[in-house]
Amino acid sequence: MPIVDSHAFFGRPPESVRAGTMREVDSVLGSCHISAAILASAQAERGDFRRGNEELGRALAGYHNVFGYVTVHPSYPEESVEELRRRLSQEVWRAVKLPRPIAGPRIASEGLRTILHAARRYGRPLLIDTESDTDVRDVVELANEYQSVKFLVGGMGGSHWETAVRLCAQVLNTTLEIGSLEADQDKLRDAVAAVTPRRIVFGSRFPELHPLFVLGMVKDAAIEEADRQRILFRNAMELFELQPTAETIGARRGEAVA
Amino acid sequence: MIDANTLFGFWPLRRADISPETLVSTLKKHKLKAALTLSTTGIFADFQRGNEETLQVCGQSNGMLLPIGTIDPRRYVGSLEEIDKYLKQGVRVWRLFWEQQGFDLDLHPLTEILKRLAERGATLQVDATRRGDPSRIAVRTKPFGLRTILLGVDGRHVGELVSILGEHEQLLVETRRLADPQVVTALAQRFGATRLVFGTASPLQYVSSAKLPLEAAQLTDEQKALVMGGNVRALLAGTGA
Repeated sequence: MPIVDSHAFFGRPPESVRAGTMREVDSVLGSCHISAAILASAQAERGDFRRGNEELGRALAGYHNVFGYVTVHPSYPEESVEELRRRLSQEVWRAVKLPRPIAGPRIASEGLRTILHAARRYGRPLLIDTESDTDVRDVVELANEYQSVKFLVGGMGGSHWETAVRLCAQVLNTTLEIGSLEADQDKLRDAVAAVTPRRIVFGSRFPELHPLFVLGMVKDAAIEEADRQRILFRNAMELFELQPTAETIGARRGEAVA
Repeated sequence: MIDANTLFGFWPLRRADISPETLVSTLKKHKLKAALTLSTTGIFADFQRGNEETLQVCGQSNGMLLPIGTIDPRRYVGSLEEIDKYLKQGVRVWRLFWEQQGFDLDLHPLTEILKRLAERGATLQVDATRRGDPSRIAVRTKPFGLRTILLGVDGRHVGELVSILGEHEQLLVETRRLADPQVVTALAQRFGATRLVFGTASPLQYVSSAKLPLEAAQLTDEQKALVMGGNVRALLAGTGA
């Protein structure tokens, strides 16, 4: 079964023993039969978001089936809007991301609202990392406010996944991204029952986590095979407007990956 | 394969079916031969009643379920007698629930409990999910040389593990949330496969999330056999690392 990884990283997260190079992304995701991936810059997560976007853009150049999140920073709304303007017209950038470490004490901030006003015109989904009950409530509040924007609830609220499942059930412009260390049995079954299998996507968070850890949840989940396929592949293809190709992840146009 | 971390009973923190029947069927589905387990009554209600339930359920499992004892240091009174009583019945692995029961590791009654477990050659299991937990537990258990399995260590805290495992030989690590074959491989190469044990927290958590990264780790067959059950067997036999 083909798999799209909706959320992985380029670059080394601060605590990780992995480097997060394109070679490593290519090798590890490829070994897990992942055929396409959307990467966020690990550098942009905690440091200079514009430099992180720039480095990611350079790393992605020319690669097949590997795309990027434009990271935005609510403390720098004007600069973030400029990042969206510069990048989202290019095919390689398929979504926008707000990482939790730079989101501020509350996700629903004025800075993010300024960015969201601008983001509406590009029609790309926005992934927001969520780690708490309050984070999930903030994302749902914003999703109700900006109904033309598709919101990805990154990490499904972590250990507060039940809140994410419950609150997102009726908010149709939200999608749950399942990558987190919370491997609670029933998590996916409950999510499928509440938000439908059409609004759930697989994200590995590699190299913070490993794809096999998150794939293990999908493998064990008491759900229909067709739902599994939706979570692993079809939903992401539609959400990120990806085209099916026969090529594997990371293969550079016109040359083999070294 | 032996799963070093399972439980059964009623789970009050969220809706979940963790009945003994569900535990056994989950183990069979994933081809796990045996599991260390305990009743959640011992965590949330009464450790003495919980230990009775654990022994009863394990006794009816044809050897598939192996008992873990627990005590609640907040009550303390009767804890040392409980340890002695069940050690005589072969309960060699004991677990503390400091997160769920809300006690701190420097609680004085804990000193006596840790000392008693170490004197009797038992093994302790304790959650170490947050950054700094492994370090605190290492320091607390070292004076007694108490063999301790750190449960639920986050793979992102591997730096902390690397720093303490060399100095604290009493520690073993459950592989469940290391979440990356490379982390498992690196720890096994650096500290030996005898320091790692396979656990799943089943049936509360998905088994394959714990199993797939471990199966993909670059370990020899001999090393894998140790991690996937050999080390637990040695602990139960009193010959562990």
